[in-house]
Amino acid sequence: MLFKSFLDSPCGFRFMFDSLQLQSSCGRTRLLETELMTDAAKIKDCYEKLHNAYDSVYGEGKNSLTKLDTLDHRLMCLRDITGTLSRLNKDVVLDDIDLFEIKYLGLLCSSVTDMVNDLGLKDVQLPNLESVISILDPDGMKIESFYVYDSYSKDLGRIRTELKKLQAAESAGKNDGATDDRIVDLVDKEQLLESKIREELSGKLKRHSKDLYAAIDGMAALDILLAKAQQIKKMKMCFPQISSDGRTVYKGMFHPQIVDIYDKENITALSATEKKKFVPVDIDFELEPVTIIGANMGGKTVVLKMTALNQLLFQFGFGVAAGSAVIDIKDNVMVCIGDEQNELSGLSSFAGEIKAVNQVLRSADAGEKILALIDEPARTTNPIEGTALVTALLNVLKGKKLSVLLTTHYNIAGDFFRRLRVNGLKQGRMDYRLQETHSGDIPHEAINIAESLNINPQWIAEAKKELERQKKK
Amino acid sequence: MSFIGEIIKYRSLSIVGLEKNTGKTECLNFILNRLPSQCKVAVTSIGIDGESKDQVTGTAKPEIALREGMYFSTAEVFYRSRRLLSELVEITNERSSLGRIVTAKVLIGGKILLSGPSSAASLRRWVAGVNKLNVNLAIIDGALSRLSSASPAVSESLVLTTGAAYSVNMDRLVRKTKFIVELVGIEMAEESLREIFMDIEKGVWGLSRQGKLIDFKVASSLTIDKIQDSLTRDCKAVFVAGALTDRFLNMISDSREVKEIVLLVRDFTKIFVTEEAYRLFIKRGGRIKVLQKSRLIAVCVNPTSPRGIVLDSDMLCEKLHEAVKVPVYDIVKNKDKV
Repeated sequence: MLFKSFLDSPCGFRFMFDSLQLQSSCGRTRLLETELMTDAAKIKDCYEKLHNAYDSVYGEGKNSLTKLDTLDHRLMCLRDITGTLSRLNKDVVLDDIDLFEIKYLGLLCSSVTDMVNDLGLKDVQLPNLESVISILDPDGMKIESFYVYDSYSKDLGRIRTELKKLQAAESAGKNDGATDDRIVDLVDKEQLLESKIREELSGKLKRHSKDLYAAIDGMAALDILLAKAQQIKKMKMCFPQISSDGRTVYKGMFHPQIVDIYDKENITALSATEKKKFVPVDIDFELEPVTIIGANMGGKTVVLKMTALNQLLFQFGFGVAAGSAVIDIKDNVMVCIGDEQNELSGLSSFAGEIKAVNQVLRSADAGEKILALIDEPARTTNPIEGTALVTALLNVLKGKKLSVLLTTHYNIAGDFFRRLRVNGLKQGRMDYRLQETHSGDIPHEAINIAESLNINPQWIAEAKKELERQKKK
Repeated sequence: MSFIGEIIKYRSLSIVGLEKNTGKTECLNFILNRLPSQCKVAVTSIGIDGESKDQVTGTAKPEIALREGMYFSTAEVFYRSRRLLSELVEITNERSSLGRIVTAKVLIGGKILLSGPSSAASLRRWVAGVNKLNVNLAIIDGALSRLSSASPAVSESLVLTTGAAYSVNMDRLVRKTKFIVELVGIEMAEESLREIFMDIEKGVWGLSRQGKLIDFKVASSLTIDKIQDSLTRDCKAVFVAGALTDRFLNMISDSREVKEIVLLVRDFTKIFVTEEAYRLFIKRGGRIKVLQKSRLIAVCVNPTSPRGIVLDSDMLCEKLHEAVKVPVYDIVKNKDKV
């Protein structure tokens, strides 16, 4: 599964990508094409490097922000010239523009290497392109410019000097008739010589094409590494640990996108009490189905989104949005949130939802170790059949090796699965934290919550009366 | 002050022809040839979206002759077919339909086809970019269809070329040219007004008699009907950020308050009105001012029309000079007098 295939997951993964401050398009492309990591050693290595980079740049006593700015600016200049390189590999003779690009890449790589060493980023590996630079910079000027320099051949310099002389004479009006022919002759010679030199240069450069590819890839990887470190700093994220026993434990989990929305709204808040604050949530689960019950607006869906998001962040080697986290590696993350209705493919909301959940079962049957987040399955049908479907689903899931978080408003009887309950309304304020509970009784707070939203009072009053009538029955 | 002496007082110059075949390239080559050698110059031509041939007359786009030391920017394709020796110094992030725009420095003079950036914003970036190369003068070979290149936001100074190709009737030619010159010469608004409106990028805005800034919440002067009343009744100044059209101008000309209002536009390139509408507006006492003004250095004329009609050069120069009050040159005929 590639990074880009998760972008439209309803858990908010795209927000994380959008807020990542990548400098180069190469970095962006490389990240989008990254495979979901499922190998513990690989993930461990990735976080070690990220942690080292973070410490080198943001660690205590480090004052690297100006240096980092300069490095960011250099990375912004990274251009994807793989097209040119593939032509080089096919023995095409490169022209001045191509050669300029290669020289530019060489000089860029060398200056980025200096900055990487200066910052103490010890895990960053960039190839040494000095020999490439010396091929394209015969005079050792280290300037980002290129033409077929005089010093490539004795003849070239001589021809050019003569050409200049003749041109000067001509524009001064000293044309003896033979000057024009002489100029044509010299231009012809000069161009043949230039072509020959370009051919030689292309041949020499071809030997370094592997290093040139490695330079682009290495700088793109560096770009991603620095952007991840910066995101961790900015969003106050943590470095997760890899679980060894199938258990996933989050302390103080949050959703960066919601925190970001609150932060923006808080700018205009008039008083401290008006300011919104995200309440972090603790949660842990193993290879088992867990239901989350609780009042409306209690943040159940947000718990699912955060869990999905953090699992993805973990397996793509990002900082994790929590105070601390120990996470089990999964083969895939499946999110069934929101209206799966799709009139275009002829599915009703019920059918769309059921099919999405079925996909989870199918993957589990295929032996995949997955994390599935299912938001209120069968909510779009009558409560009697809905309850039956959800109870049955939990029963089926029970025997399978997968972690499932499932929210519901239905009363599911039995004690064959874990239940977590949102604390709910306490003195008029919502407490979003989760608590272990054994009773399947779902809270009856819908009308109270609706009332707090300033809904039509007649409607609310009627609903209360209706509830009384039902109780009497 | 001589023609060239005047040009080198500015850091950027646009050359705009009022019609094809009015001698714009001739004029550019003339300037490039006469510039003192210590003046570091960069030149580009506004991108003509992939045409390497003049679509109207079928003649090839002229190549520009460049001397040693000059910088130029052109599309990749044309760089590859250059007929001069040059050192490539930058591949910019600007793209045109002919590929990326590259900048190079001439080592041995020769000819090259120029096709650089085409939008006003990208031209502005180009001017800023070449100024970083310590260039004293950035020259843009503009196009009438893209008058925005002549905007003072892009270049400080301006040379117009006109001639028999624009009209073979000398009086008509003079009158039409005079109108453009008049627009270029529209007076700059007072600093207090400039400060208020300078950073507004779109919409129609007013300044009430009490000094309050009003946003009329219309996207452009094209959808103006709704606000007509409050606009003319309450405002002492009205700023049109986008294009100024006949319809808008007529609306103000027709109102009773025409004399009370100052009409503001960013610069003359935003004025898309006919001469008739403009004259009516002025006649009724209307006042128009710009936020930014470019310096018109000269008008260059080409008395020969592509169909072979030749106007009397001296008479044309004299009549035109009388009408436009800026230097007028026929650089082909009077090479040595300019």
